[in-house]
Amino acid sequence: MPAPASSDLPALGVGLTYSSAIEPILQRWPDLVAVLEVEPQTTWTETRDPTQPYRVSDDVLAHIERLPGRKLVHSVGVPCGGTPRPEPYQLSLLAHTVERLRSPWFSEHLSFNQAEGFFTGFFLPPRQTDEGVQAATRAIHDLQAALPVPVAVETGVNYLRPRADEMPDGVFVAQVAESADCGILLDLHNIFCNAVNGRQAVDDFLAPIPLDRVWEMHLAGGMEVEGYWLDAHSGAMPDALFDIARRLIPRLPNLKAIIFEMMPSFLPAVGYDTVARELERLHTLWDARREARGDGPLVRVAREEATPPAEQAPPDVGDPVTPAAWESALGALAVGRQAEGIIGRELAADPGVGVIHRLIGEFRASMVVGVLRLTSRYLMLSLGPDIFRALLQDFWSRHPPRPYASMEAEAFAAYLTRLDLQLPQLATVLRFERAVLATLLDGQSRIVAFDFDPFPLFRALTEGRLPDEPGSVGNYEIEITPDIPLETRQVEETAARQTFPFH
Amino acid sequence: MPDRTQVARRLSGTVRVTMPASAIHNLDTFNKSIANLAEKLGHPRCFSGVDCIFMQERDFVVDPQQRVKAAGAQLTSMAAGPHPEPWATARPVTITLPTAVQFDLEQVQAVTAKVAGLLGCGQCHSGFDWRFRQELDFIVDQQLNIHAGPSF
Repeated sequence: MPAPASSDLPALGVGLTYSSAIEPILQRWPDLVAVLEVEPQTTWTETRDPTQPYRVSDDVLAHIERLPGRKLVHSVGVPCGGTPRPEPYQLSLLAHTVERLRSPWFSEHLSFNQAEGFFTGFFLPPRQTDEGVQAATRAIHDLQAALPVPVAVETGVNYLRPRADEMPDGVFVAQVAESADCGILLDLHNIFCNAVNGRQAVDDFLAPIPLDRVWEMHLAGGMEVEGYWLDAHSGAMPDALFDIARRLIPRLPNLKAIIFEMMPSFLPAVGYDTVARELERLHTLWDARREARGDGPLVRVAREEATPPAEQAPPDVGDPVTPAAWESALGALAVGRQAEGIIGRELAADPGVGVIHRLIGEFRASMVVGVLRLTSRYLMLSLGPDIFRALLQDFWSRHPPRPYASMEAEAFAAYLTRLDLQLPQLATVLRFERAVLATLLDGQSRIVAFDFDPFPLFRALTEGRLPDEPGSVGNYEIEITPDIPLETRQVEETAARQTFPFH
Repeated sequence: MPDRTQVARRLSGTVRVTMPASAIHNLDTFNKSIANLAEKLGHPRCFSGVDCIFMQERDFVVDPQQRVKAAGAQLTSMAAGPHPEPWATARPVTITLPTAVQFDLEQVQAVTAKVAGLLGCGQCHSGFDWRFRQELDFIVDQQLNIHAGPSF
């Protein structure tokens, strides 16, 4: 769909990235959140049907629709910064979600997450050359053609060192946005991370950016690990970032939404009050935007010409490192494989690649412990955390990441089954959890049989310990049912008395 | 007096407990349900099945406070019978453990959305996924009261 005039898009205000964990915030501070940004793939489940691998439940969409505020669809599954093109089934589901949630625009990441047929498990930075601009433009055009609303691309984080054979970050984003005629989702925390980590100063990044194309801004907090400032969405935004936003926002004539990003796993430590305070700060930014522009018509702001820094050469004509070669080398290194050629050796020497590789490991481990909860605890308690981690690392060395937590968990379960560790009850726990997972995915009831009482074991694992004694021998079954509204039948008194002959 | 294993073998009936997958996946709910079921049915620490009341299918439910109670109003009082239950037989036992949300479509949808979030694609961020460390901390805390730090 061609980009409309930015002024046609509705002004949505301040919002929050959706996860079920933030719902208490919506209830306690309803006036602070005007828009929820929904990452559609986080609400899809796999079907295990290769012709239609994912589905979105009407229940999920109905629940999100009912939540207060407008909804924005922010995709995390078809990044448009590289050569991979979106699959038709992905586009179809995305279009359905956009229409159902009445999202006024759609955004996706200017990154890539696939290389030579495998998923990288992480948004990786694109090849920032003329060819890279062309590849990104093609991918964005795919989205524009399939979706009923305009498309914006998100500026990404990049933990790699800047390279002499690539465009500066801001120039690349500017050229892609102009070439594809799309909007920009300015993730200011990503740009802040890149600056802190030594890529490009924030002002230098912003100089070539067509500011009238910025429809949306992301703000977040991060954390430092091993000398890198990470885009972790782990708490309050740094004051320096807030100051940058306050300075920049009056210069964004078509800004329609400011979204605070918060990872749900950090919420228990951070607390809802902190998120509410951050939302209040975002409201002051939003008000500053209105004060700066008043209510008059939108005005296109002239921008500075894109000028690459002197120390960074413009991209070579006939660059030997094509976007596909870049994706292949960086993707391989990110998941722990070898990479061929000069670009492979150069990237392998970049300490940022090691950081990405370790972050992917944390993602993958988190997916496994988040889905196979009892199995993971049983392994950690039986073998110790270090051996459990060694098992994970061996699994990672043999299998690339999977895009969905359920897929990653099932792949690890299959790996464990083949490994045939001689641990009593491991096979039982694993069989039970795989059945639970299967029911969660397909909604079909299953019965798992046991030749001992499994409840002491399961109860102990839920409490983070091994059972004091094995369960007693007997025939037990657990019927695993889907979540559906259950009609409780009324019991007739006569029948009940026959059941309870002593009453 | 026969021990539990002997009783179980003598009874030889199959004990079936029915639970929604989402209630099992949420370990807090799973733990609370097992614990409350065990207490309700007469075994305070673990649910062995041999001490349970033998009832018909879907006679037990969990109320919003995750207390186990009989599904029908009439059964609520009748379930408080003598202990150990003298009507125990060797026929199969089925105990259903739906969560309270199963009686409310909107809550079912909320649970479905939450589960989809757990099983689906990771959220947009490029930082440190804390969930693995949280789980390690929990396990280590249970064993040694030592916490791991935020490093690789």
